[in-house]
Amino acid sequence: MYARAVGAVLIVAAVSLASTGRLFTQVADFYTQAPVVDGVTEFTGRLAQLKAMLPASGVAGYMTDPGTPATDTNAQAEYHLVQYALAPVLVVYSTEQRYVIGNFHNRISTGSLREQGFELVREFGNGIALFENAKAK
Amino acid sequence: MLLLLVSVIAGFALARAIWPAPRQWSACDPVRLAVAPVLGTGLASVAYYLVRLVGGGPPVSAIGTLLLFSAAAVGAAYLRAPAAEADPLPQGSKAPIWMTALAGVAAALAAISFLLMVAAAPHGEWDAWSIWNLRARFLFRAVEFVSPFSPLIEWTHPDYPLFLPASITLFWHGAGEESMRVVALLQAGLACSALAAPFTVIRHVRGGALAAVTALAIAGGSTLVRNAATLYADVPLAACMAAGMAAWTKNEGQLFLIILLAAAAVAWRHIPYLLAGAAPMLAVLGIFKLKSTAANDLVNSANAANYGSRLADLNRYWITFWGFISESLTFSHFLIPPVLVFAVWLALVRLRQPVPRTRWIPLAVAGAQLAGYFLVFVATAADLDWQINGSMARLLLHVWPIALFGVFLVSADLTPE
Repeated sequence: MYARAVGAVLIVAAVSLASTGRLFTQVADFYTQAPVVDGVTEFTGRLAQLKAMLPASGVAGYMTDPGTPATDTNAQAEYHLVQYALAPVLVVYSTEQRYVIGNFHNRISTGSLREQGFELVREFGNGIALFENAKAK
Repeated sequence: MLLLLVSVIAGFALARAIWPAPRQWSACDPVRLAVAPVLGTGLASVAYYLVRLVGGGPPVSAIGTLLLFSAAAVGAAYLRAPAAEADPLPQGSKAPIWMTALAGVAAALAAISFLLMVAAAPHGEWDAWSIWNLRARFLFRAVEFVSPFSPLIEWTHPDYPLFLPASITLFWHGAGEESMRVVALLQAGLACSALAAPFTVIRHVRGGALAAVTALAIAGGSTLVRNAATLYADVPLAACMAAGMAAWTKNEGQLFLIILLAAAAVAWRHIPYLLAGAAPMLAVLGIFKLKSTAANDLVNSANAANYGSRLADLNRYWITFWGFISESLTFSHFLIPPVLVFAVWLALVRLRQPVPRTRWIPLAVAGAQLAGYFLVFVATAADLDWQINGSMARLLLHVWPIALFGVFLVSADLTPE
């Protein structure tokens, strides 16, 4: 192999190994600090009991803390995770369905929701609850 | 896991049925083996989709159909073998041991990083659980074949092709559970194809030394490893661009197929063969698209309405141009921008003389694919900055293996003639 070629190979090898090496050290750090149970498994696990109560198919509504902007990334992620956990039940971001899943982070009174027509079916902890919408019965 | 292995064997048999070789292990069999995970996954996804389409209930009929496809591929490969010509002999020189060792270290670091990432986040990242694995869950759990594509969950992009979700579903049926290990293994297999397809072809037509650099360069793209661990469909698409089935993997793959056909028509003049090969998958894709009620983001009526004004907005071209430049300088967090690395490579090694016209196809196709992405960015109705920040790296990743394949295909030999 001629000298220029060796130089070219060493340049590619250096940047390649630096890139994979840096990835490896970052990942190794991340892995040692990662929780035992990953976030998706932990979050969707909160919905296991709720899933058992829902029919095998159909459509359910979804609501979260009042005033949450539609563009809130965390709220969107949690909505998508709720759908991921409950498939094949279709979860729509609306309260117009008979059954509505509540996912709250702030304390909320069931009385105020009852006034809006949402009867608490069951609370599952961690801010997760199932409501029945009297208007959509 | 067993079904995944069966599908890889079926993929290898399919490669041998399409491109026959004598029954014993042949010189080009490493190439066939490299594309086997892609072809096998494609067979599994098609088997699953067709069975559900005609109302068959999983899992027995879908698994049975895959086994039938596999048996047909093995039979065709076996029957075609006696009349097959021997594979052409490998060209070029062998790689020195130190180059093989460097490529091996890069591949090992990439593989360990992938394993650690999927162990820490087995469900992958956002698009994995909101699009790809979500659709697989719908398919796996739903008795009917309507809810997975419901317009009520349009944000899950029901129009996206089923290469990944349908194959995951079938492998889950084989495993009897929604195993994320199966998903990780499938991603790993497809990532291996993305590296191995260019590597084995270069090794065969240009020699081991250039092949070792190809492997070093592709594995060195840490974006490929990171993205494989997110369990998105971008590494599968990159693999499919190198090995086939791209149009059935992501909508971007359909653009790739059009470009590939155009390139073949111009430079290769074997377009009837390419069309004949693509026809079965195009038929399946056509049925899927005709049955899909969800419109593609880009062509739905609301977004298409203002194409003219967006395409006439020069500022959008400027923003997109800088988006490309910025990402191409930092892609894969190389110490030196990859564009510069491979420019220096070509300056030092030089082009082979002469370069046959067909050897430019991979680079031309990669360039045209990026040009297509450029126009899509300009035309998109989504927020342009958000779109660029969220997807530019993944789009460059799509062409990473095929572009590097093109670079090493036109490079001069590393040893004097």
